[in-house]
Amino acid sequence: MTRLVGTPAAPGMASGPLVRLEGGARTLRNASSPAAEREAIEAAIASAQEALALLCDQAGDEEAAGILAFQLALLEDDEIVRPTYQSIDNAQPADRAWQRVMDALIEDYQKSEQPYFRERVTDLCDLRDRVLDALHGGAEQSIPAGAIVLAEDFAPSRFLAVDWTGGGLVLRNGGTTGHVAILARSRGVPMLVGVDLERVVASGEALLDAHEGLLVFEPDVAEREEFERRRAAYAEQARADSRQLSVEARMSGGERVRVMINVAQPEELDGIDPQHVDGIGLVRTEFLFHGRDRLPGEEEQYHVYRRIAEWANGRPVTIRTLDAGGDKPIPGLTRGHESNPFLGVRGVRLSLHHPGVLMVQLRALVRVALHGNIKIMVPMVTLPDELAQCRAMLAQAVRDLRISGVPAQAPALARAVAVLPRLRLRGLMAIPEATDDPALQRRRFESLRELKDRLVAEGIPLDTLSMGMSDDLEAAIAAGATMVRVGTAIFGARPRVPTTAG
Amino acid sequence: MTQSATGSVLIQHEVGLHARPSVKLTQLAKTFRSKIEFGLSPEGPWVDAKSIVKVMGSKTPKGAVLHFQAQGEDAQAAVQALIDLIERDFEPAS
Repeated sequence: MTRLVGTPAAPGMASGPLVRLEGGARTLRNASSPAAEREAIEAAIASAQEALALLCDQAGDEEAAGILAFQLALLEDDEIVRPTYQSIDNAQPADRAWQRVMDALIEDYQKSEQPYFRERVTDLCDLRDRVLDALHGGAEQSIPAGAIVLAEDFAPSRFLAVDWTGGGLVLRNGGTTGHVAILARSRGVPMLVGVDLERVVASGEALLDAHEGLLVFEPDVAEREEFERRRAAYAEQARADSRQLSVEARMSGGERVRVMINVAQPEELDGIDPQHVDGIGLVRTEFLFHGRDRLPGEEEQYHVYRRIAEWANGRPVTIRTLDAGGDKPIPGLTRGHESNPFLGVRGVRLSLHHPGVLMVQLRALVRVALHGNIKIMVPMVTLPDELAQCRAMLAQAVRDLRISGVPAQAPALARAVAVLPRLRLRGLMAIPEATDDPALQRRRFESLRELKDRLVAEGIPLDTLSMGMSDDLEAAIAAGATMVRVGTAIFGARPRVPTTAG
Repeated sequence: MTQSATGSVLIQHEVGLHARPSVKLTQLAKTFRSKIEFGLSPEGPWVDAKSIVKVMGSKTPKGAVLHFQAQGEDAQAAVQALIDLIERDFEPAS
């Protein structure tokens, strides 16, 4: 057998050495001495504890923190730790000792009559795998550039870490609409799914034709020539197609059609010229959670959205708030085992259950609106009130950002002044509210410094930061002030001038 | 000085001893040096109140009565504190 067929998930052609990945199974530990295995499990549990405690702090809402606290409590429980140590003392490797104890507990929960306990199985598996990952040190088989990779399944985060130049991906599982397939298409990596890998006995060179859905092993000369001929034909076709990209889309009657793209991962934009599109019709924000179980903070979200907004360069960008739930569960956020998750607590309903999470996202979006033409889409709205609540929260985000001293209009004003031919914008000045709290003083001054840095990065050459007066100049200088005002310190407090009406 | 103490309390929490209340109960129990157990009847069987696996494993529903028994230098205080926790429905002490 020298040929296998599969379903094309991303078109393209590749030839290169075959690399077969072990089918998702972790490399098992070899038992060293019980003392060394004890040390290994102790370190793995400690690192899991540390990670969970950090997640707990950052969870941002009670629900997620509660779930993580449950996992943390399990890690500290003698009922779990003691039998693990016992197995280790009986010459079991640390990973199998841990897995055996956890699997027994998981089975117990799975068998429970009560749905509540069955739903906790996800948490227990999560905890089991977290410690196993720590034990295995996450060592993954390396993938050389240009290889044709054969695997049972493939994680999106891993896909992004591989140099696919000239290579391709062949999976036994996975679908054409999975995240890896979407990534493969956007990055031009040829990919097949549904290939019966058990029948692969060959190694060495292979040819992958992901247009036709063919994988050829140990090709002979004729097969190679045929492959190269088709590769050249597809390349010619692709060149012809690409000439269409910069042509404005119009109906036969001349009516202009706006062509927008969907973005599921910011990396997808790398291969696309913004000139070829009229904007982004939908940015899915679920990618923020991929490969992790932490809710990303405002700063991180802001930077990701900003990159997308700047790529679009003034073209409209519609960003959808988190659409988790249904077919897109997120551990620690969505509810497990709803009887019909597609109609359950998902989309905006889930977001309104976690207003803290939604607010972080809205604040990041409000801030990024200064850098582009941002529209916000709210997913799965069924009641007018859901939209009203989102609008109220958006208004609240704008108000809060204003009060917190992020000057929403300042960048736009600075840009407008900077282009005026007879004016030179030298710097920024602020007089924050009077306060004795040095931390608050410092925050206010630092937010002005950050604004100046941003404008400088945009190419507006500011050299002056005037902030701080007699009572708060230390915090101002610490934050980077180049000019302070010390009148009160020299001349004393001025008498208050009575205010008069009119 | 070793004391022993007992006490009982009705679980009114909406869902019984689920993950979050169990975490709070074990966290509080662990702050005491005494051995602390509870049972769903005054005769046991007894569950280690410091183990989340055991506490969750008791699958105690709403409306059950927990019977505590503790032994150790702070047994009295431990039973009182745990009963207080359950009586204020696992909310933080005011």
